[in-house]
Amino acid sequence: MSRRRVEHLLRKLNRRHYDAPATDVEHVAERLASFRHPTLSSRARARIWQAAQARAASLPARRTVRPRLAWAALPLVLLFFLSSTSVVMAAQSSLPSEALYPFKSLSEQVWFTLTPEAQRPAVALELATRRIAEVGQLNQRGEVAPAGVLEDLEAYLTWIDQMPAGEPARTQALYRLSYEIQALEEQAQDLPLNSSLLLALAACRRTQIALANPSGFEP
Amino acid sequence: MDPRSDEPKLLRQASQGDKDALAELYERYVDAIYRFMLYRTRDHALAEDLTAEVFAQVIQSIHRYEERGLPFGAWLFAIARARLVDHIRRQKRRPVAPASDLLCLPDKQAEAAPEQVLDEVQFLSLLHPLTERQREAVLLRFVGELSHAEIAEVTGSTANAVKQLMYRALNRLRKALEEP
Repeated sequence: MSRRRVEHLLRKLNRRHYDAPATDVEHVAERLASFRHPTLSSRARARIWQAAQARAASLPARRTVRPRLAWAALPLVLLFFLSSTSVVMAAQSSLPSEALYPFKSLSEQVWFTLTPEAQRPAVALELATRRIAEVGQLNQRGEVAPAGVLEDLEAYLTWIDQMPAGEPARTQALYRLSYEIQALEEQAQDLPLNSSLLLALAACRRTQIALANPSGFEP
Repeated sequence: MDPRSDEPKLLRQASQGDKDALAELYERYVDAIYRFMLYRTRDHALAEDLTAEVFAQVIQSIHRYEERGLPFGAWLFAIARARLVDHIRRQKRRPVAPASDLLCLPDKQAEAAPEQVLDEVQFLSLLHPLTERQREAVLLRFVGELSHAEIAEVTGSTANAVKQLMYRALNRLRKALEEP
């Protein structure tokens, strides 16, 4: 059938509609309902049915969690949650040479990363004091702190130095750092000195000076 | 007697793996789903393909039908609608063929009688002035033979909203038909 013929038929159809206009909405509905829509031949039906069956067989099985399995899994989930929380809690008092220390380090990194940038200097002060304490405790045991601990300390001290001048937080950071330095110095007097303690002390003193003189000039 | 009165029994059997029951349900609904797809895509081969996709999903998930609490016809059209949306997303709004092109597909159309072809074009030309939502509602009502409440279930609307939509659609059709 040519395109011209199709267009002619369509025009004819439209004219037929215009000749007998619908008078109300129900009439239009009746007209819509009276249309004889195309039906599939038996061959087409069989073809579609076969295609549907083949596709259904190739579809991945849908995963459904049965309620019973979900209830059975609940204690396991709780156990995992509680055990992981317990491990992180227990790790907080660990030292760099101990097995749980990586959990402590990881939890601190997560804490620091999730902290908004404006509040990071305050968190850095907290984490720096932890590193200083670790260096002190290792020194008491006669051990040297690993290089990673000193690198972390340096990084946190840099963040502390970014506290805005004149802010009360900066003054508080100075007091707290001075207190930690004093504790390390006392320890250094009582115990044989080790290199990590001296390096930590030097880094803390540099930051102490920077905090006390934000302009960079000696008073 | 309501032709759908034995449907709950068929559905129960089908969900228990009775292939004959499933085939019977397919026979009852395949035409309606095919027409729905045909009127939306205006492509016979694609309509067949999408109809097969719909029934593939039905075969796979018929056992979960009762959990939904939706009449089977409405459930079926909800699947059809989802498959159609998937297809449209895949095709990224591929332009549809004009209505008159339907007559230029002798391959599939040869199976239908000439007067059926005429009705098909007639029906499509009638739907032309409608919006997408109105066209969908009209198709579900007059091709899928769903009630207003069932259309509301399929489209995620309310029965009253569907009634309003249908009224506006029919009114627009009436005006279009009355235009000189």
